[in-house]
Amino acid sequence: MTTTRFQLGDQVTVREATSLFHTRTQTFTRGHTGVVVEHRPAWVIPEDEAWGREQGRTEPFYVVRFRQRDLWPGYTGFDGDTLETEFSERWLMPAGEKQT
Amino acid sequence: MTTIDHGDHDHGDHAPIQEAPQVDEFEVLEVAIRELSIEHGLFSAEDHRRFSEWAQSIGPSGGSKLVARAWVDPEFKQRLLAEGTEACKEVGIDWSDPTGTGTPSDYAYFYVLENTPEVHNVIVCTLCSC
Repeated sequence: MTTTRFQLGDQVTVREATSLFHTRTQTFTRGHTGVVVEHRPAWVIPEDEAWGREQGRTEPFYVVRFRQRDLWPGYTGFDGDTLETEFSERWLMPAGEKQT
Repeated sequence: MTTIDHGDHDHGDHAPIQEAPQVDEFEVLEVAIRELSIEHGLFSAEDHRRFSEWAQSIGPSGGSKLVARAWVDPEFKQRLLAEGTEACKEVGIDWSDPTGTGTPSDYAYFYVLENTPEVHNVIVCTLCSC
């Protein structure tokens, strides 16, 4: 059993890092803060899987919910609109923590 | 053959003119590679037939079956919302097929979301590879 660094309800910020190669981390989420709403089983990270390394590094995945207003400048939809998407653990850090 | 009356002249009798069936470059390539593969024993003509029939059978009917069952069977609907991948097996859909974790190199974690008067779900491609 892989230990999960983040728990349901945790506020997390998506790291700002390269969008070269295959990360499956949408650039429109980079630097934005959301809340962990679901855990997903540990899986080979896209960075390894993309190169055919099926036995590559395995990490827990998380479903993070963002407010649409936080993601899109000038968003005109409802205030309560949210977006959920998945991240591997390496792309997330506790909200408010300075990126190293 | 019907003879059309052209009044003061005729065009003689000939077979109906039909457009030749169009075969594009990709189809020619497919046939060439398929025939070579069969000739070299990579797979058999029988394998190819079986795969083609399977490929043509893929469509939205599995999903329709799933939703229809959830409409008429409230207990199934609860199982489907709680454990999508498991419940799908009851209508003959196995998301972990054929590798045990989905199609090769794919992360298959299927789950079902229900729309309510308060929540309307929209599933989109997130352009994560783009």
